[in-house]
Amino acid sequence: MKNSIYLFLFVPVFLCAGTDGTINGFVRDAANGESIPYVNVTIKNTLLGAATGNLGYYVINHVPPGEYTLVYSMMGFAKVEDTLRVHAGAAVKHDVLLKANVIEMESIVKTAERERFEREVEVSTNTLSARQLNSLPMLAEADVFRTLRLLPGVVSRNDFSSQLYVRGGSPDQNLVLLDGVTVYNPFHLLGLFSMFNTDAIKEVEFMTGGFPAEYGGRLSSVLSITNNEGNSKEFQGKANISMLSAKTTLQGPIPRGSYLISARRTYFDQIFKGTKYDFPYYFYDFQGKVNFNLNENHRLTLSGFYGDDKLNYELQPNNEDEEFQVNIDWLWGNRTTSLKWRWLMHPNLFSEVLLTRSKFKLDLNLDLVSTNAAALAILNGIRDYSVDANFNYFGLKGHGVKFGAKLSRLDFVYSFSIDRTQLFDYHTKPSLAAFYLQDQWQLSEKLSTKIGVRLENYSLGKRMTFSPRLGLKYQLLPNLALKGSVGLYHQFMTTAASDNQNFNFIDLWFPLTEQYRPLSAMHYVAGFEWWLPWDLILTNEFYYKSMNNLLELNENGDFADPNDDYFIGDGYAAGFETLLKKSVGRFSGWLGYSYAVTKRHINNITYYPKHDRRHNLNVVLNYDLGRDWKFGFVFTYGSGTPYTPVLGKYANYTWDFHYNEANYEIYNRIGAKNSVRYPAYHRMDVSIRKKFELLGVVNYPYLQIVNVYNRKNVLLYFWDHDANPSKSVSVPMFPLLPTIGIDFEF
Amino acid sequence: MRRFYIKVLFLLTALLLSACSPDAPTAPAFDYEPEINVFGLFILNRQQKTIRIERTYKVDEYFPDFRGVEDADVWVSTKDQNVHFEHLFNGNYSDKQNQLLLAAGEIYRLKITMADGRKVAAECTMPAPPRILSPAADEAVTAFHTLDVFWERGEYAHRYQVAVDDEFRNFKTSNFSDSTYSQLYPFIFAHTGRYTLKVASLDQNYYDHLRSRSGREPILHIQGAIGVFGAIAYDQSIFYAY
Repeated sequence: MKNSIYLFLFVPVFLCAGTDGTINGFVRDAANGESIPYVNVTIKNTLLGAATGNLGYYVINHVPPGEYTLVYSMMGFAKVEDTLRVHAGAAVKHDVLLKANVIEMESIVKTAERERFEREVEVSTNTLSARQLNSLPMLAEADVFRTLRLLPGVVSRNDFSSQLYVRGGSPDQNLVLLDGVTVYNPFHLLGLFSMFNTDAIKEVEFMTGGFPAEYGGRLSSVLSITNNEGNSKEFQGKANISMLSAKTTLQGPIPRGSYLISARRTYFDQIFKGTKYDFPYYFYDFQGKVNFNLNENHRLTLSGFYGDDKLNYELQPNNEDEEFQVNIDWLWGNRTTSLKWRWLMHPNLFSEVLLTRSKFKLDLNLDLVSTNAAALAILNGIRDYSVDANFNYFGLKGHGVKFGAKLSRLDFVYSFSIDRTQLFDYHTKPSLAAFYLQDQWQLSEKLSTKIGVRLENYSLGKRMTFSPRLGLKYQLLPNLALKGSVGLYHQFMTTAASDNQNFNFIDLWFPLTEQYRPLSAMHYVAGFEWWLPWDLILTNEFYYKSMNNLLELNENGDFADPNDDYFIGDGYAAGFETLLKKSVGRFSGWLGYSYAVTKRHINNITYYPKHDRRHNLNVVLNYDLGRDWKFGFVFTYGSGTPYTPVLGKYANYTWDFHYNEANYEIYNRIGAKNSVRYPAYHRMDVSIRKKFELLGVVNYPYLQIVNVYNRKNVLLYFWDHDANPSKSVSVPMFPLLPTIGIDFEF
Repeated sequence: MRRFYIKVLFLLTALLLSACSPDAPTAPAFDYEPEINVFGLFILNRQQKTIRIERTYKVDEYFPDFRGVEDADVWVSTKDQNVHFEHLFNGNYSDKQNQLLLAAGEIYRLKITMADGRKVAAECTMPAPPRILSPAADEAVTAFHTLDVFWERGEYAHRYQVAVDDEFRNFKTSNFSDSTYSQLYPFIFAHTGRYTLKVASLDQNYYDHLRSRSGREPILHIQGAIGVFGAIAYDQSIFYAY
């Protein structure tokens, strides 16, 4: 068995061996050592050539023996020409550093986009750079999730939550990866902000559907965040003070490698410490990354994220008659650690092995002190220990083969106790094994495909799933490509969430137990990408997604019935998305529109879920005003989302054993689920920033205004029955919120 | 340079001046035809038969104190009896001579005919009361400690409700159990003194009524109305915490 695995891995490697040679290597940025994807590498006076991949790696096979001049070119970088000799059957490794032309920085972005358009078979994929993330007006500071919700296909239910609903899917159907490590609750401040510090980010890749076989375990989307590797050439620093937090990011070289550290902390608790306005909450996060090149073929990367939110609050009685003093001690946070080993096994075979640990913990302690002493404790946690091995094989002409395996051991804990009396103690350790194989295959000059399959085995219930994926691209014209994708997706864990909930501050994750079948979804995507004049890119896509075995928390569940925790159902999402994007020039940004319908059939009720927003329009603009002034503008319009109307009210009687009589509370009588809609949502945000240099430090002070025209968007309605007749109350979302801050670069 | 700053200033001022959005709209009231709301609960120990009939109200309608429906025709039958319930006051109905006997295991069928011809029907099964085993009557338990409560099952009980009250402070709490065991937490016994423990057998109708929440579709076992027609039977004991 072991031998057959080796055969499988290495036979194709040696098949390509012969009289011809191979040239391979990495292309990196001379300024900071970061890898550069999509660099064209050609051999002068021949038709041979290649382009670098995401990791900056290139390989040119079938090079006859001889002396050649290699040309490394990419717009925005100075062209490099190197001469080298290739011997029969030999592999020549040649790494290159390219120097960026400062005045052509935008060309780099444009070229990378163009190369991606020409080379990749992908649908529904958006990439955002750190520059784009930091240039948009946001509440207090740049935020990945709040930027992503400006893309078509993404819906957010309200201003107070950063959770993303992608193409009709719920937030727990999004796979969030930080440097390849799964993150389960990527939020601070009960979902108001995402946990990712944008100063440390190199690139954000967001796939809203039709994603390839290398990704699995979620139904709707993949968000892959890659942090900077750290500047291997010189020390570099960044800092920021906003009205939310203070943060700093430092990076620089170490012998044979580089490091990056980034830290952030809110500071209101420190400012008001000791005053009567004591602020009981703070969050912090810390990220670190160290790269170490063992030799030219081996590289180790150790990275970690440590972040916590902490609320410590004492609710004192208002007067002497009140008995209770309440102490709340709430800690929640994420920890991720990964060790990546990148090994260039052969010029045509490249591997990355990741050992990862991801942990989320929520620990809530609530003490009632004074006359009655009660302690309520909730502990929820998930630990994910994984080994993830990925291999890229370049030895077959016209093929880009990728295969890999992932083994995860998960550990879920959920316990609830009152006064040290354990009411609920759930502890389970499922495991998940996955294997995938995919090939990007150039079928003809115009037609290419990405075909793949993913096998997954889940220990609870011994579930085995098979998920085929197919992507197609047809280059109709040099500037116009037709694209399509079909794929089956499975998921083995879910969060305890109900569509009836208006807020979902923290996701409590649970693995699917034996009685539940894996959640599944089928994606169908078709569209085109068209490169227009004036650096405009137009992308249009139609999609249909069917979803099966969806679970929704049964809020009226019988505590004694282990089989009624969730309702099981199906659903679908369908829609049309268009995105007109301009990445370069004085004016940059995008205009995105989507029309989407999402429907679910759960517990014999067919309804539109709360995130069924039909029309979404986002206008995102950055304008270079000149003289180092930059203006940012975001306008969002979304048609109303559904809610369940309160039609009537009634006295709901129960028997009171204390007084031996029937008592009542006024209950709402509701109408059909989610049968009416809130008013439309719209908001305009603006920002302005100025760059200036002082004592060798580049400063970027900025002013951001959220909800410029103070639109009173409705978060929810409720009826106040203390008034008679009852009074309707509307809870609004963000009001007009100006914030200021300053970025520093040194 | 000056023109540039003027442009920026003008842009920001224009945006800020537009910050005059009207107040957020409030929830509209929708068409709603009021329904019949029934609270029917038979309690074995007390031979108590509560039947109360009201109507529901539009959400923005005045909610009166006297809202009982007085002109309904109410009958409760068993395999041996068919008893008319007469209106007492404010929507409460009773079998005036206590003709209807409550007995464990008996099935009771409720039939209501409203003055406008609408009909309501439901049935419930009376459970037998549980028998509290621990804490025993007049037993002294330790204050500030979790108290284990055991009882002997009551036949036909779907679930149990365990209620305790501290007569001194009118402090009360209750929880549910599907077995013959439950725990009461230390904070309940913060005071030393006398406590009353009640363990009730609940039929399914009343249990589902208790676990239905406001603003959610209630779990109903009644036709033609909302509310409940259920039955309970309980045992009680006194104990002391020291």
